[in-house]
Amino acid sequence: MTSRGAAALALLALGLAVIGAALAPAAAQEPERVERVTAAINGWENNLTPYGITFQSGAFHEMINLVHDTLYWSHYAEEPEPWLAESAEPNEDHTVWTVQLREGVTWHDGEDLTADDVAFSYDYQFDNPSARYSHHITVLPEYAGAEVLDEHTVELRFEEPVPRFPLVPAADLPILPEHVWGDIDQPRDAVDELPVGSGPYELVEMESDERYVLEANDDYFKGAPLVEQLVLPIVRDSSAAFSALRTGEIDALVRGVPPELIADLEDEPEVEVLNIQTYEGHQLYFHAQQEPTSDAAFRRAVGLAVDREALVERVLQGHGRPGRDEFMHPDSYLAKPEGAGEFDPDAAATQLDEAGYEVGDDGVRQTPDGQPIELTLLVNSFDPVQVRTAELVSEQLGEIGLDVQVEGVDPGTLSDQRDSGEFDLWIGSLNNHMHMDPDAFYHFFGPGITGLTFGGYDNPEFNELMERAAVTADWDERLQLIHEQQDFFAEELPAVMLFYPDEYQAYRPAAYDGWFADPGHLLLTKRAFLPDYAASDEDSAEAGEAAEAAEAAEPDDDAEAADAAATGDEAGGLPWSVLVAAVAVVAVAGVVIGRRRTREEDE
Amino acid sequence: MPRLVRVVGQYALVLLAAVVLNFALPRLAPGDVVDYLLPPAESGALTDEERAALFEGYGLDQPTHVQFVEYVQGLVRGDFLMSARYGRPVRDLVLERLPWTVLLTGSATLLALTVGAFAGFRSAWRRGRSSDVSTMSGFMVADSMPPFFVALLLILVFSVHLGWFPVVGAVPVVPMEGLAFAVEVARRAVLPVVSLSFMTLGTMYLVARPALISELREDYVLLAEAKGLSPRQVRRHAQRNALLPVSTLTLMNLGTVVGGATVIETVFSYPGLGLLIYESVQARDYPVLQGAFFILAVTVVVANLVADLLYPLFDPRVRRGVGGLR
Repeated sequence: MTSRGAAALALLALGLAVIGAALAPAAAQEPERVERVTAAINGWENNLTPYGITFQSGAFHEMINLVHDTLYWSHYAEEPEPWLAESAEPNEDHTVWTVQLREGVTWHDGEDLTADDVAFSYDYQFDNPSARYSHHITVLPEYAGAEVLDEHTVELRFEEPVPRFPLVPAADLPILPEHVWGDIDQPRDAVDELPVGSGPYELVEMESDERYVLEANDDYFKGAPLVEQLVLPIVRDSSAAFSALRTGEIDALVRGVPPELIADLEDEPEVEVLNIQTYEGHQLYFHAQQEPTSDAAFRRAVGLAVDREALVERVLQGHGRPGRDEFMHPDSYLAKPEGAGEFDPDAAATQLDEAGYEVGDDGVRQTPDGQPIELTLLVNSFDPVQVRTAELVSEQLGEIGLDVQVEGVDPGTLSDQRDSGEFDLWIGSLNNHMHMDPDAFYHFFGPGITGLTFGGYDNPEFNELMERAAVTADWDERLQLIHEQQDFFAEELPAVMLFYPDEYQAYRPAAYDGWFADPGHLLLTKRAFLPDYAASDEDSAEAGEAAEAAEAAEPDDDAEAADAAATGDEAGGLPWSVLVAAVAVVAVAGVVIGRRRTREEDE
Repeated sequence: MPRLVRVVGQYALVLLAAVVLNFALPRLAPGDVVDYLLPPAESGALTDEERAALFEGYGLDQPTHVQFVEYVQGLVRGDFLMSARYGRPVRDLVLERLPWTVLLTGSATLLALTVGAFAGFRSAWRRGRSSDVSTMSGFMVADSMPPFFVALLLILVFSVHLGWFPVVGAVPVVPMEGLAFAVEVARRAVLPVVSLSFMTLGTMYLVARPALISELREDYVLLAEAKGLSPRQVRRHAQRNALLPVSTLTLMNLGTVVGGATVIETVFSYPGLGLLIYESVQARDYPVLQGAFFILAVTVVVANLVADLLYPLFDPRVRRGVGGLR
């Protein structure tokens, strides 16, 4: 009786599963316009406004910029292109910029976007500085007010010269509708309403920690977006996210592909792996306000003792480049063409000896006054790459007699411990903002940063160099000053750049194939949905030919790679399935045999 | 009656302790919500005034004792504060998420109870035979597997290899209605429920088996056998009595299952209270943590209270105050 009931239940469940599988949506395959694309993000960003975003999605600024526009675009270009603006002209000393707006642009609710909205956006985000982008008008450059000249012309004034206005703040600060935000006194409390923007997508639905649904703004001034509906489900767990991509439950993943998964995903026939560029670097910061890390000689020795090639090989599995003492990403147009991160542990040991940090009886180095040096290295325990890096760095520094204890803590604890100075070293990463912004050093190591967030390095000479560069109108002259900052940095070493990882994101081309590597941006860049920019069939045909040519040129390497992948698969994939199958078989066999026995006994 | 007063009084004390801990623990953790809401590049760039303004906005600028009084008043009135991270009333958030967690924990508990008790009784009936030994080893392995590990195995087998079940969220990504929607919700619940049932499955088995074994040694079983009842009838009598410890355990274990839900909901991106707690712990979102933990504490305490009060109904020995387990 009971077993019959159980069997019926099991059948019912199986039936439901089968029906469900049959009902599961098939991926759309429109060559022209795609009906729906599902791209998983990592976390909740509130309502995608400058006051709501939390940077938990892993999509940086892409989501807010799907909904909102800026005057120029993009913040990571050497020469941003006019976007909401048609042009912008400076006065003689670059303190006033007259912006001519594009005509006929409307907000998602149908209202016209005018010069009043631009003036309002600058005023509002200046007056309510808790917005993400405010510091580019409150700190540097400092905004001084706007004057609306006519419906499509506005004059923006600044306290000091702003030679690169189209880049910062024009390509950075989102333009907000005055008729919506004008009534909001407490912008941080308004993170629960659907936003009104002017961007290629309108946010039509949001469920906290579940998903966002965006719909194409067909009247967009750059053309109707190529994907009609964009669904962004939130997937917190990394392995669940990649499983969902493999099964086709999602079409694309904003999460970066971890180094150990790259080869696996490249073998997957339905998945493409795209090499993107967000100018990312991971660095080792020093507590620059306490001994011995406040001593530049000590920091230089640490830099020499870290084997950055080995970090790239072992932590990134070769998917990256070793860091340079000049700090800036070598692919950035701001970076000095030459630069290096030398590895020479013997020289490091000699320098420490000379600076008075000699090895004590226990093999551990001491301060000049004879105290043993014990260094704490803080690392975010949620970031596997950084945890592995920290362990290796600690090992490498051990080689020259430095005692470094790695302390893995959650992000909240890390920022607390760091800001209160309970550390000697910590590992962090920065991308675009540090490597593609002409004032980057100012924002991270400059006079405006008083706390210990970036180590607390403060040097009047360096500050003067950065302040001078910020207001230099002549670009060649300014670039020269930015290069000088990098030389200064390499000499003083307020932080050791460890490596610049190659970054990859994965998607299923059958669902949508317009994705492309937009420099500085992720897969979800708004340009990937715009007809003028998105990858077309021609592009992918070219890419395909190039790949084929490369394959023909290097048959041996490829065969080897395929072999390695095959054995890797066997080594990694097989035992799990075997184990699971074995457990299942034993369990089923146990139940069946057991049941047969009882029946015999009962009868 | 005195027993009732004593039991309810004990649970009231437990609840009071939970209320205090609930306020204190999140605040003892290092870090604060402003660090979290703004990435390092920005939180470092905040001036002290800007930081103070943010704290004021969340009511976190008040002295701790004032915050505590407001917290208790809020509990009494039933309105919790605003969430700093979500910018919404905590009550709305908690009520929105609660049904999903009830669905998961309820189904998982039922599944664990049914399978665990069923297999446990079966093993007890065939104590010492090879099927008993193999089933017992199986459940001991199951008992020692952490649920998140089970979840990942299930995803690998049933989603990646067989493609039977989705792994993301509680509802379909694509809008659906009616039966199709219900089927999708059911499909999405299967793997999380099975994973979560591993929290208590082994324990259920390991309690059900000895419970029936000891019942089978009782005199009434001997009597039943002597008067010629069939083995099936004897087993039914004994099983009914053996269910007692199992059912109590089910209610007592509710707290463990809810705890497991935090992990499972995170793995499957399931929008329940567990995921809300996980996110809020990371964000140091005190108001949400207070609200969510309060609801959980009340649920678990009430479940235990119910178990305690129902016991006499199930077991006449307790009711009459003679012998038995107490």
